[in-house]
Amino acid sequence: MMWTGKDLLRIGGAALLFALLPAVLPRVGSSIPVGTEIMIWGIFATGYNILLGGTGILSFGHAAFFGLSGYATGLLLLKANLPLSAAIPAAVTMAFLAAFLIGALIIRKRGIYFAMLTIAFGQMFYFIASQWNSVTGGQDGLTGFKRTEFLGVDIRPEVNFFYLVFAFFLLTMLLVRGLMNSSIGKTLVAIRENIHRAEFLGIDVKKYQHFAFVVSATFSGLAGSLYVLLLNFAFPELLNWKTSGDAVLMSVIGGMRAFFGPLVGAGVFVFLRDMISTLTPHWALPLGAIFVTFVLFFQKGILGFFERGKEG
Amino acid sequence: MDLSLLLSQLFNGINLGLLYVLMATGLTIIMGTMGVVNFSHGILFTFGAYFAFSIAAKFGFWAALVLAPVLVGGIGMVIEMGLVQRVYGKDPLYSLLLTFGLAMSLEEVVRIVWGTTGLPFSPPDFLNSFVDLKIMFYPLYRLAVFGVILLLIAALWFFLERTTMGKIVRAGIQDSVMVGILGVNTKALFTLVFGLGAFLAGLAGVLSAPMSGIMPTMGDNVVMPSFIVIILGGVGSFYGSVIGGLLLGIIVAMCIQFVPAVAELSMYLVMAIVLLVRPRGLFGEEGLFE
Repeated sequence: MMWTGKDLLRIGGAALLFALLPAVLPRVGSSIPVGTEIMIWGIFATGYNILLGGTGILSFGHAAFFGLSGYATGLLLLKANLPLSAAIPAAVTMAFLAAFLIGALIIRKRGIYFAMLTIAFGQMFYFIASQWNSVTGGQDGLTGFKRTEFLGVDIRPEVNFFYLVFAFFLLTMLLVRGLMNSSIGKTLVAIRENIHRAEFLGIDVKKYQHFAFVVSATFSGLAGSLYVLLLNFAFPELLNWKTSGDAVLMSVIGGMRAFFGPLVGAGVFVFLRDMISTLTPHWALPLGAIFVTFVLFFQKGILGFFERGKEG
Repeated sequence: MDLSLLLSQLFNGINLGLLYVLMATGLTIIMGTMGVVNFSHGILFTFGAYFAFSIAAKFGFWAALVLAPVLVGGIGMVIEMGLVQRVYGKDPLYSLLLTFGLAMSLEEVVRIVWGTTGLPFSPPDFLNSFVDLKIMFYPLYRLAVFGVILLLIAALWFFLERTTMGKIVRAGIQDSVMVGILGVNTKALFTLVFGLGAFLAGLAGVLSAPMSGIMPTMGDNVVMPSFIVIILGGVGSFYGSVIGGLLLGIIVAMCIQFVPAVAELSMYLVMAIVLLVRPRGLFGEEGLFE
């Protein structure tokens, strides 16, 4: 069985909560796209956390896969006129391939050296996006494409697009939970807990780490593709290492050892950013301070704080 | 090809490279000693430039050149004692996120205090001229920057290689736990190293201000090359950052002149090639971060 009853109950509960958002959000002074955005960052962070919380590897380069797939989606709509049902998978495949190649080059490095390499390779993509004017639109970003329909469903209205993202969101939650429950997921956790013991047991550690890197990047790609469709716009900052940093922060704020941690972190992140930015244009100042507070005092994140002593 | 053009671009490359060296040296000794990737290094660079702007307006360039880096070094020590110190011995993830959040806040502080748009910063009058080097004219200010940074690198070399304190720092890069066991006050050592790194970043900020102007995001443009310099030179290696920095500066400057389309991409290509050929970087030692 890929999922326990408890898993299905919890994911179902979360799904129910999100499914109701389009009815709730406009009534509380918010809007539907905020809910869509939380789910997209939720996909990004939950997928990313396979690597960080699951396997114990820190990457600061996943924005590259997020943005690469986002730009690819826009370009495939704009230049190749592909239907979305083909453009999204094609864009995600590109993120997958890029992660596979970069991963193969750098996966042998450890710890902060690895993290630094991911930043550097990620920035390479950022640079290409911001400079290759004829293709990406350079600093101004890529515009001129609009999401229209997905498999015959009109996704122009925000609420319809919300439910399309919701479907991908649910799929992501189920897939990631299923993966972490499987023997592969258990192996990843074993590597995180004690890499040497895992090696002695004959596990091909590098292969599994590479796998985690590529799978997490594929989810980043999915999130990036949806995000660009949400905005009908792709811009270089999507690929900036600071965007990767946001994903790391979401995982840590929510609790990287809890399955729902990154999702909670994504929600808190979007909520705080929106709330503070209505109060002051200098939202980065208090937001940064909140992050620092979390790192100093709530290292297990929000969920970790409430589930003290429990790990998993 | 025009020789004077080639030569002036070579000089520009060395100039740029020397700035990278200052940044990367600070980053690499902090990384080597404490295992901390200091994401606030770029904002310290920015602070150096803005402090210099304000100090120079009141007390002149010399005061700015001396005071601004010292102030930034002091801020670095406060950051280390107040914040970074609390996450030593934990997963390196935490120190990294801590400095990431801190940089986010501090960049906003710069915007609040000095505004979001760039500010002009011209070299002091006595350096604001061109020198006749027979085959070309070269800005005197840039030559002065050569001198200052070369002196500083020499001083750093002397500190690291010839003084007891420097030996302790180098030993700390090798194995800071063992250094602590041998009776060194590692707490003070770490604060000192962080302060030194911040000082170097601040100085780099001051020196680059008259060459490239100042703006809140200026730190971003030097942090990434500095990371690459460390990857090129090998983590924790002083010589590695010096050679790596110069190499990268020259390559970037040459590309800006002759193949501008790939100027920034060239950095990453060099990095990828070096990694394939020498996975630990040019001067990296076995054991660090493996």
